[in-house]
Order: sequence, then C-alpha cells, then structure tokens
Amino acid sequence: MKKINIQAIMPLVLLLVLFVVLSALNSNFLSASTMMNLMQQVSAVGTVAIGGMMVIITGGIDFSAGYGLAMTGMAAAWIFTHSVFRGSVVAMLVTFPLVGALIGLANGFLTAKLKILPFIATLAMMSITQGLTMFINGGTMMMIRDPRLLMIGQGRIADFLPVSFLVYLGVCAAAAFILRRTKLGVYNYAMGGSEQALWYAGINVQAYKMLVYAAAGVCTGIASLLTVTQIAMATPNIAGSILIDSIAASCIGGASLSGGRGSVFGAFMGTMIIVLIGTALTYLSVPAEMRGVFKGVVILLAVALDAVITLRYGK
Amino acid sequence: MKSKAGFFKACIMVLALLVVCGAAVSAEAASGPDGKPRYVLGVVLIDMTNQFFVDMIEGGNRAAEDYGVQVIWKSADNSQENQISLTENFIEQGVDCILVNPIDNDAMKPTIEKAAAAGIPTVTMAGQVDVDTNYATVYNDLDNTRQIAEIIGNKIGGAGKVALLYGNKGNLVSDLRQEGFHRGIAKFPGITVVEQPMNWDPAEGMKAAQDIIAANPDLKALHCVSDAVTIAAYQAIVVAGKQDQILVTSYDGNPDSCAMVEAGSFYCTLLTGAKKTGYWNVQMGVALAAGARPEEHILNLDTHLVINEKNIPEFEKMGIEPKRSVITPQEALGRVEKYRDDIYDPDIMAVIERS
Repeated sequence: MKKINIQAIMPLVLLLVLFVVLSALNSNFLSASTMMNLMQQVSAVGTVAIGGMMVIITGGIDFSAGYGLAMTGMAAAWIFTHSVFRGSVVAMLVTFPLVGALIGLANGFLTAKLKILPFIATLAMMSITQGLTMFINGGTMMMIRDPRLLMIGQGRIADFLPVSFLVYLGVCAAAAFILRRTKLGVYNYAMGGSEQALWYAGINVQAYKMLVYAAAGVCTGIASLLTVTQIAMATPNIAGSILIDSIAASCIGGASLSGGRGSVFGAFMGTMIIVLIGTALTYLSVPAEMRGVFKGVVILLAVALDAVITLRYGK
Repeated sequence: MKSKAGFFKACIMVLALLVVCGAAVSAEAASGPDGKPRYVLGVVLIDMTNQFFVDMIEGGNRAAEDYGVQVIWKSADNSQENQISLTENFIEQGVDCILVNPIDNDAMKPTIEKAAAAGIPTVTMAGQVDVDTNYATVYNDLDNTRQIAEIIGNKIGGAGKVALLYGNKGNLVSDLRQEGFHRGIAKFPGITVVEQPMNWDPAEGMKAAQDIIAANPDLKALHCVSDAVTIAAYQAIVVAGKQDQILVTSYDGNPDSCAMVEAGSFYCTLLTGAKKTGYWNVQMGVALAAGARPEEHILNLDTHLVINEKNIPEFEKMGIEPKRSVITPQEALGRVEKYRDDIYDPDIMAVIERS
C-alpha cells in the first residue's frame, strides 16, 4: 500500500512544487487565464501521451506520433477544404481518428506481425508520414475558419473550461477504462512483462499488439484535431516538440520504457508538468539560449527524484 | 510462422526498393519543353516543411518549367552538416549551378569555395558568402523589420510592452528579423520587448503567445516574423479576447495574412512573396548556369509593406521611410498570383538559347 501511494503521488508533489515556485516568482501566474491556457495546452500533448504510454507499456515506443499528427491534420484539412466532402464537418471529424488509426495499424503490423523493433519501425513510419505530409495539398497550409470546428479547439464552457480539455479528459477516461476493465488492458500490461508467456497461454498477442498501436494512432488523430482547431490551420510543420514532450510526459508520470508500467493518472500529471515547464520559461523570462538546458534539467530532476524515492521506499 | 514473417519482410523490402526507384525516376522526369533539361540546378533549403519554403519550391519549379531546366530540391532539415554534405553531393554530381540558403554563412564558405574550384557558380539565398563566383540574393529583412517595429512604436505611443516571436537563434533569416525589430524599438526608450522563439511551428507559436499574454496582461503589441505562425498566435489573442488591446504585425505576405490585414486583424505584413522568391532565385541560377556573371554580387529583391487602405495615410504621417513601397492587401494578393509576369526575364531566355 505504502509503495503505491508514494509512486502515485510523486508527480503530484512535483506539480505542486512547480505551482508554488511559479506563483512566488510571478504574480500573474495564479490567474484564471493561466489556468485556462494550461488546460488548453495540455490537451493535445496529453492525448498523444496517453496513446504513447499504452505503447510504452507494451515495451514498445511510437516515434511516428509527431509527424503522424501533422499528416493526419493535413489529410483532414484537405478533406474539409478540397475534397468532394468539402465543408462537411462530419467527414473531417471522421478523418482524424481514421487516418490516425491507419498509421497506428501500419506501426502495429510492422512491429507485431513482422517483428521489426518498434524503435526502427516507428522511426521509419515517422519519416514516411513526414514525407507524405508534403504531398497533401502540396504541403501548403490550409486555414480552418468554420466556427463549429474552432469551437473544439478554442471554445470554452461557462467562459472557463476549454472544450479541448474536456475532449482530453474523455480520452483519459476511455484509456483508463481500457487499461483497467478490458482484456486489451490486461494483455497490454502483460505484453510489457512477458510476451512469450501470453503466447504460451494461447492468446493472440499479435492482434492485441496491433490494437494497442491502432489505439495510439487514434489518440494521435484526436490530438491532431485539437491542434488544428486550436491554431485554426493545418500545416506540415505543426509536429514540433509534441513527440518528445509526450514521451517525456509518460516517463515523468512513471511509465517505464522497458514496459509493463504506466498509468493514465501518471501520464496526465506528467503532461501537466511538461507543459508547465514550458510555461515557466516564459514567466521566468528564461533567455532563449538557456531554454533547452532549463527544460532538460527540470525533466532530469523530475525523473531522478522519482528514482530516488523508488529506491528509498519503493522496493 | 517464422518463415511467413520472413516472406512478408522480403516483400516489404522489395516494395520499399521499388518506391525508392520510382521516386528517383519521377525526379528525373522533370525536364524542359524538348524533353531534355537545358541545365540542372541543385538547391539546398534549410527545411522543406515551412510554408515559406513550400511556396518557394512552387515558384522555383514554375521558373524551371519556363526556362526548361531541372531543379533538384534538397532539405537540410535545419542541420548545418546536412547542408554541407548535400552541397558537396551536388558538386560531385557536377550540376550547373548550386543554390543554398545558408544556416550559417561562415560555416558554408569552404563548401562554396569548393564549388568555385569545380567551376560551379553558386547562389546563397538570404545569406552572404564572399566568394568570386557566388551571388547573394537577399531582401532587406533588417530594414524592413526595423520599419515595422517603428510602426508599432508609433501606434502604441512609444511606451509599454511588446512581444516578439522569432524563429530560432542562429537562423540567419530569424536573426536579421530579430535584430531589425530591436533596432526599431531602440528608438522608443519607453518600450520593453518580451521575446520568444517559436521554431517556425504555428502550434508552438500559439502556446508562446498564450503564455506571454497571460504573463503580461498589459501587452500592447505582438510582432511575429513569419505569417503562418502569426495567424496561429492571433488565435491566442482571440481566445483571450484581446483583439482590441493588442496590435498585431507580421511578415512574409502570404494570402491568408493579407486577408487578415484587409479584415483589420493585423495592422500590417510585409510582402516578400515566397513564390516570387523561389522563381527569382531559380531564374538567377539559370542565368549563372548559362554563363552570365553580373557585376553586382548582392542582388536585392524588392518588397512591399502591406497596410489596410484606410491606415495608409496614418502610416505616411509617421514619416518612417518616405520611399517605402506600400500596397493594399488587394494589390498584394494580385502580386502574389502575378509574380511570374513581374520578373520573367526574356533576356535570360535569349542567353540560354544562344548557349
């Protein structure tokens, strides 16, 4: 009991420390607008992190999430602005998870069926999605002006709660349900422990693994929807740091890259921390040259602290 | 089961090989009107995903069609080493002219010298390397941005906080636009600048803008050095409900941004014209490949400040730069589409037909 508590609350403690430090150093930090920004900013990274974490639990990794997000966004925006489904919000909304799932299935096929190392397979998919992005609409940006779509990324309920954050919470709830209440969830963790054992138990590991990658792809698709409707456009270079941030978020939240460990709550906290670090750079006016160093050091501190606590109290 | 996986793997590898061959063939297929390219130009861009470069490639390919040459586009993916090795590949390949937009001018010099030694003329786009057979094609980013900063200074009454979103440190284009901004703002001691890199990524630009706005509730203006990112950053202003409080200016002059100037969302943008820049550079490369050697080694592309018609008198009263070319968003949109008519040069065609 004691072990679980400490492990689970570590990210929460870190988050509180960040909050206290930031509010002490900049009086504008503790404001409604900051909280709204934070909720909006965690939604896309957080959604990618949830999918990425499910893959990480199997002992794999998904590097295609970043450019997959960009490609999905370009594909959906193209459907909405140039295809025969022009102007159809429904067609666009369907495209996001669909293209995401296809990318995920491809990843799953390469890793589960062909037994290519996830690291290599998804790295190759990353390159392929990056390349394909340039083919969609010739790589030219597409603006999204439909208020119904912008409502998803920019809208707020009761003038406070961002719609995109609710979507993210929905993804968290769905992932928590899958991981805790379904066979897929049980096998997901088991794969990270021993794939062989599952196979001997007569379970179709390959199919389940492909499902996990597909689920991660759907998460990428939803994250793409959130990103595109937040910035009101799709361009090939919206991938940015979202991949690295999402992996870091999962790990800060306690997911183990060797598989078998990770939780939705942890990934949620990890994402809050990662996004807050980025925000801190602005509030503390960290000079541009130091931003990378600052971010890296905070991530290291977070993970190291977790490791120390685990060593001291965990086992 | 194992052998099945092996078979699949083999199939995938063969497929991959076919794709690679196909891509190579399709690149070869781009050629002049008589089926054979007159010259082959190699271009090394910093990056190919940025909207500016996407447009530049479109314009460049149009010039390639007009002059019947083949252009091979390569992306350095923001890496100096890639840029050097890609340029060296072009030298070994023996292309007729190499165009490169240097990530770092000094780092590029030895490679440009190698090209010169191999008898290949070069164009450094938006960068300056002092070698005899090298030509620099630039527009005056520094001065242009300085003028925009002065507009902001005048508009906000010379005091308060302004935000600058720049690309990334060490990128020449971004550095010039950042430096220019500071030079302009330096004329207004009452103004403080809050600045952040956005790495040319609209999503990152929006987050940066959100954080800056929240951390500085009294922000009066925001300038961003690239249109696509400015549009994303503007969404942050909309979400915060501060459209009336924060003056927005931009750079590049892409059609969506010109529309924002027309609508009054942006005060101004600056039309460099990415497609035009691409066309112009390839045209320059063709002329050099055909043996032309202009006297002047630094060639300036003209640019236009895009301001809403009703604000032009106000701008003129500021007296920032009397000779500045100022156009309305409508005129800008016209120019964006008609760039070819503006700069197509029949003399170059005559030269290459003679050679």
